[in-house]
Amino acid sequence: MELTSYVRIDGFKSALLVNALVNFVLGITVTHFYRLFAIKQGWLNYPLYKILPRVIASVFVMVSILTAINIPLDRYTYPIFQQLDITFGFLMGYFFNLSKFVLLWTLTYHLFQYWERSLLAENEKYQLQAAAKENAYINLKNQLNPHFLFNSLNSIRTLVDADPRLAKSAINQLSSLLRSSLHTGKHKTIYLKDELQTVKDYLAIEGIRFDERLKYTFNVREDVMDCHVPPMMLQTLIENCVKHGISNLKNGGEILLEAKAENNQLIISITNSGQYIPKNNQEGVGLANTRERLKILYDEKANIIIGNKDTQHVETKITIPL
Amino acid sequence: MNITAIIVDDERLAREGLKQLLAETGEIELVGEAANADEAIELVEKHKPQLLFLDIEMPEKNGFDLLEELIETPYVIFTTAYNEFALKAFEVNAMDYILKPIELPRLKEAISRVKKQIVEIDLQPKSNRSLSELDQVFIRDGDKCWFIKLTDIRMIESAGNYAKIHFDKYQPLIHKTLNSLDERLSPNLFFRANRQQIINLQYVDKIEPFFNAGFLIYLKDGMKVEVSRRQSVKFKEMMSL
Repeated sequence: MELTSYVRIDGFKSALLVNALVNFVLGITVTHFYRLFAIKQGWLNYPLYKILPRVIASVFVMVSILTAINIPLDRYTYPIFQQLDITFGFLMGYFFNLSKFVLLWTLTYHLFQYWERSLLAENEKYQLQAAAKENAYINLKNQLNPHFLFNSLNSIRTLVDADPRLAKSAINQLSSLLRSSLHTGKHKTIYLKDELQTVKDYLAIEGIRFDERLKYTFNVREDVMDCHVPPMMLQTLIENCVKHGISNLKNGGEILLEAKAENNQLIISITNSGQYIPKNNQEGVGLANTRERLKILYDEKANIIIGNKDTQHVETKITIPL
Repeated sequence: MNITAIIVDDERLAREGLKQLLAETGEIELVGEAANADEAIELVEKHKPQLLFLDIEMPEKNGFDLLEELIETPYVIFTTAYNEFALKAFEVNAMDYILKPIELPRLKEAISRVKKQIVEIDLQPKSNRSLSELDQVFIRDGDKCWFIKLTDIRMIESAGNYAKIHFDKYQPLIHKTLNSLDERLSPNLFFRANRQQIINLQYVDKIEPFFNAGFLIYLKDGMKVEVSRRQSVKFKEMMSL
């Protein structure tokens, strides 16, 4: 019966249970608030050496709260405590006892977060690298678009005798087109006017191949000429218009390219003859790639939408923040 | 001897360029040029050329679609900028392709190969030859293609709206009815034995009388084909000739 001398006889079990429960809830609440606070303050993104002093200060605050609540609680649970004076040493005892747990928890929490974050960062790095490589590969393949290249060379070969002047300008256009596609990787964005020049070179060559089957109109406002766009983006989209639209039509068709600024956004619309029928309900590589590039460059602020305007026309609409 | 030919290509300059090159070879008599498959089919049926220069990538119907619509195809030299992988579909038969931009020596080589084949057929005794010199057919089943000499087809069998062509060790299905084939195949070579089957008379091994005043024909590959009573009368007439 030694034990009962300092435990309230009437509430032995319930008092201990209440004490444990209160401490449990208290511990969770305090650490939970700490977690919310730390996340809100952005501590998780700090390097470890910067987190440490903050952790120590926080532990001090949390332990103070816990001590302040635990002393009266224990005095209630264990009546013998009521006979003890609350000295400095008594307080320190409580303080260090509780510190062990809180510090352990906080450090574990941060180390785990740190580890998880570095893992995620690593992962993201690899994903970005893979995306960049795929981009480079697709661009390379687009640059060389062998079908276009050899057909163009075949046309130019005929032109050499038939129309030497046109042959010369076609060679120049083909050269500058190849040059701009080789430079794609060098700049993140280029001026819209430069991109349009590339598109015009491309269409001029396709115009030679397709004769009167290919018609095109540009309707671009002067004030957007100096806007920035990803290099070879419009070129890829226009190439798609020719490849999937015009070249499949016996009597050919037309392409209309419009660009204007509206609500602090650059809006580019490309309309071409034909119908948009995604293969296996999946968009093609060129389109998916363009979407990916826009996402990397502008996050969610840019987008591209493609769809049938009517039964004879496809419209591709790109929105880019200015 | 000049070979009669038609150029099929959707690009005017490509046709123009090939025309100039063909003039340089001095071996081709150009009887027409077409910018798409439909124009080409019309021209082929009208002029019956010996040779087609055929682009693969064309709007609406490509080169293969075109060939599928012809019952008897001329010799074909494919012209392609980059699509030679599409030609890997060809299983057995030799066929030729030239890459754009076209080189004169390569073109000459392809033409001389065709010429050799035409001369070989000319040398064969008349009895072994089908009436038409255009004696090959283009067949596509799924992603496989063949040029088959009509004389190599042993039997054609009906399978609903399709026809099963028996030749060599293959039996591709083509989307044509037996009736439509029967109408266009030379009666000197092929015989409609019954509702289901057309046989090549070259492959008949022996003939036995069968029930109901019919015949049973054994083909050289061991297959047995019944000749219906109605057709037996025709068959007897033909054989007695």
